[in-house]
Amino acid sequence: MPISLLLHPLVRQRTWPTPLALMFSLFVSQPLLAQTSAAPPPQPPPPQAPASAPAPASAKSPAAHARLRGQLLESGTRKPIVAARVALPARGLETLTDAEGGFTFEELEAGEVQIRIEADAHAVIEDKEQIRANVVTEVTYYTPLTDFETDDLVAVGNREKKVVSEHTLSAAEIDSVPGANGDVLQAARNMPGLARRTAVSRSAGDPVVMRGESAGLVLVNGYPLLEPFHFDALRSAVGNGLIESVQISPGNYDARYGGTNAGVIDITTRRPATDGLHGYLQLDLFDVSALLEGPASENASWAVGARRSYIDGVLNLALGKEEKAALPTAPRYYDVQASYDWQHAGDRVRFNFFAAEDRLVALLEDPVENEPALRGQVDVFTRWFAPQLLWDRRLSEHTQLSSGISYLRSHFQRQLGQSLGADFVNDRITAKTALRHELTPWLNLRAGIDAVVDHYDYAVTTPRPTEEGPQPSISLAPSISIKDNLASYSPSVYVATDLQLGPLLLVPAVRVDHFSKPAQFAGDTLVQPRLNARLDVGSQTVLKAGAGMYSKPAWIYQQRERIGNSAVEAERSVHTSAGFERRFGEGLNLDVTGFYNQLYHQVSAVADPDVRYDNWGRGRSYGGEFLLRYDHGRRFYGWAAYTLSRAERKESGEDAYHLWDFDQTHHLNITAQYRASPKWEIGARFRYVTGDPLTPVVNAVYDSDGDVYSPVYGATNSRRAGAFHQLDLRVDRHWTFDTWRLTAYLDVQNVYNRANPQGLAYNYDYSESKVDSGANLPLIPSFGVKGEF
Amino acid sequence: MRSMGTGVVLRWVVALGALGVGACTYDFDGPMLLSGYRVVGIEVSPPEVTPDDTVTLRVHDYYAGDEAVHYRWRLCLNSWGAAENYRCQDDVLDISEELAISEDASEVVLDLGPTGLNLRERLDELGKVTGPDGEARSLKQGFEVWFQLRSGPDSSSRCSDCEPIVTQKRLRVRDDSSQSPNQNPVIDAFSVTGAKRRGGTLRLKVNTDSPETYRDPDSGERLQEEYLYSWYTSAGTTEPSRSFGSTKLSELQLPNRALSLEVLVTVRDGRGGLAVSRQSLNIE
Repeated sequence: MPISLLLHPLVRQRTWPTPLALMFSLFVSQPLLAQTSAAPPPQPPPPQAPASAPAPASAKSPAAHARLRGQLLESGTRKPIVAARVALPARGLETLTDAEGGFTFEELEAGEVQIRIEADAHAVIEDKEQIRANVVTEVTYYTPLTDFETDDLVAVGNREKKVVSEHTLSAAEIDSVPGANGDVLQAARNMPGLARRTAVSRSAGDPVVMRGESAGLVLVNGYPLLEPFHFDALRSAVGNGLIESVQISPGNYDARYGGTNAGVIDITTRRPATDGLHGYLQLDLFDVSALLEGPASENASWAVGARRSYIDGVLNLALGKEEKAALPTAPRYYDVQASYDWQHAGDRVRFNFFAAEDRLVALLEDPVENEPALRGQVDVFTRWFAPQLLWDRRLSEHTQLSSGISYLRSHFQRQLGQSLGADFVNDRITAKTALRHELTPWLNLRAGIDAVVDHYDYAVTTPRPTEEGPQPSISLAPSISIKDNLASYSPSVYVATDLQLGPLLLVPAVRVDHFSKPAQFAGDTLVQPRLNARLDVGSQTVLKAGAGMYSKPAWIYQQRERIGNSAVEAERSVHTSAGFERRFGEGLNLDVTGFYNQLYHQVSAVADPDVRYDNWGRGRSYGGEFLLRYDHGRRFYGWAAYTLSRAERKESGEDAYHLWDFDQTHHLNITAQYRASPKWEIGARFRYVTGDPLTPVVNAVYDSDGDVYSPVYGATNSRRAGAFHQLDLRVDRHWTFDTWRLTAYLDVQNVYNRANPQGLAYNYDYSESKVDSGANLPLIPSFGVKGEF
Repeated sequence: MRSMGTGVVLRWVVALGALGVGACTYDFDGPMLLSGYRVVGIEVSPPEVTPDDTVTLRVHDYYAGDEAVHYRWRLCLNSWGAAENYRCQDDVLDISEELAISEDASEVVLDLGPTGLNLRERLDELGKVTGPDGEARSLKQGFEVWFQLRSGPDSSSRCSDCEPIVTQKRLRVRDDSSQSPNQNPVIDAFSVTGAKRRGGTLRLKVNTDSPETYRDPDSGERLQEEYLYSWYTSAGTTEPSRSFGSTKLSELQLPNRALSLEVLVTVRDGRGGLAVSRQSLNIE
């Protein structure tokens, strides 16, 4: 039913400045305010005059010289509406809007005209205008959405797939996944193959576990970050404002990536807006964020965004004098994103800049009861910044060259009391160049060179780290102090071909990685052949399989003298997987993948203090991933992701496999989002995950020097914590105005307030235990608002 | 109960996952509540020795029961430490059977010299000794030998399936005349003030000697000890239960009933030195 917006004061440009525009204008641009509030409407951008652009409509009377020129934009987003029907019914004139939403009526007789505008899925506009002789009357109309566009919600899954396992989430999905609070990496965890963040992975300091293997890569545009998360896992360190999509490859990943035995998450940033100034301001339970973007010239656009937590501000207001003294720097984080994107002909040059900082300083007035060594100042500080310069050039119709360089500087400090601490500065330069050439319609050649140079400058006083299972008490572990200043080098080269033989796509590839030993160029050179294949069986089904070799360099500390073993080499693995994809009608897809990863040459801790580490560890992970996904609907998208897997390890000297720390047998994730109307959205997510493996404490020894009980552990990972399950709900309400849009949302996590068990908590001498659910989040209603224009 | 300031900080630290330390409370009895049989430390005099010295080991324990308490001592010349459950690095390093340590004694005297354990010769025979941090140790640099005590009344154990209570104590052995050996802290006074009435609060205060200065064996830096105080009670709660540095005070919150209780303070210097003082109180 069309909605008459006749005489609605906000349908036209002659309106008041919006609160958001006013706010931005105070900080950014007085001309912006003038543009939105001055009486003359803004000049629409010059039309590109496509060949199909509608011609101006003209009156039949040759005596008239008035002209009516206008532009039709969508309310809230200010996107031009193309091919809308604009009519002057009383004068029998009609035209269509062009690519910029523009329309013109020439040679009109002066006087009042009635205008009627109709566009698909938008409200009908009816208005009157006074046309004066010999004057160009300019108008801008805004019309709100009344229905959904087909591409409005989801634009994923359409990427050309060349590997067995790859899943993509769009920015729209990331923004609306319940329980993820609009966070890119929290949303990515809903895909199969990714483990839920648990106490085990937290204590291992490992943010991304995929197919049972730790140290998955998190990249932005193919280049590294330091810490993908603020404060362990609270928020992704890369804000959402510039994200276009995120690709998740839990295994058998493409040859353009290397350096991990797990999988890869690659965040792709988008081009900043070219159609005018846009931006948003968002506030929620944790932080405030803002983004501004717009065109810089005909070929270039820019964006600047930032986010800052205000937990510290709230705490400063809430805490008393004593508490403030104990918390000199309350937890805070911020991150910054900036982008400049220039495109012309076959060239695209992008400059991106990302930065983040986390800080917390606390004073422990008294020692922790069960950790007497943990007293004094606790200082958690992480700061990094990463500029990227990327250049894509189309050399010919069939050849594309992509090059880039990124510099990552990170400063990482941890101080736990007086005797434990780390001050770690890393400078990393990553340079990549990749060539893609279409030799024939059925044969593409891809090749690339990567080079990574790291420089480390660090001072560490720390207990010797263990590789698996529970850590000894901080108060008892013998600590060691090290200062180091060294470099390492990792050049790589790869070649891949995309060979399309009828319905069969074969992607044979080989990647050669060199991981240097610390402070020298010599090291491990690994040749890793990889093969992925996809076979179309009819129009709805694809069979797929892949096998390949992968590797990860040993950590620096594992190779350093005094704490490691310089003979330790890179860890290796073989990934194999096979499955099928099946399309059921419009938008419903089933993706089933079985996998078996064999890990060998794994770095393993040994008791001998002269050796410390060797490469005799083994591992394996196997299972199946199922993804049923509906991503076509105007109103609904959702998926059910289920991973059944087992991950096992065999440390140096062990005869039999045992469960690996990151094993999660069942991981079910059901996510659904429904748009009831352009104003209301509702979403839900349910998760069920098998509990973490646990190593039970079977006895304890009292250490008189540390004044603490040291646990005696039973068989490694021989027990399990209880299962995790949680329901999250999210409701979004949108208000659309002419030039901006306001969204308020309520994201309720853990709706039925389940106290999910994380393990066992013990008393001081380990003689009593109870189920530990302390670090799990209780029911959290997170309220947020976002204004965008 | 810990102080509010520390509590707030800990909640944040835990919530942010910045530390791998669990600090939640689960209605367990606090570690400072003495009940059953409990060892609070082994004092070795002196806490740092040369291979020719004689040392005295004395266990400080608490037991309010009637049964006789038994003690059994062992000695390993080099252990894997806490990460390996204090396992002796080699069977030949476990010389417990050769020791002339009397059974069932809470205090033993051990001659490390040629007429006793003959530690210097034993170490020469062993060759290089590696510490649990992986570092090779010479006698001049110093290393640690590891005493183990299994103790308690016949019926005592930590739990129904557990082993007897086991306590580990390291003794630093060093032959370096250029540096003075560490000494145990000295408690000059341990005072308890306030009305000893049920439900009341008592003020606990300890006076000690001054912490020593020493040279760090790794960095060579000149450092000063910082004493750690642990406040135990057999009833009620102490707040703070541990303190360090200049905070030599604690408060004892008494239970709401008349009883006799014991309060106890241990002072550690962080280098193996220990001093213990205790008082018995009658609460009306």
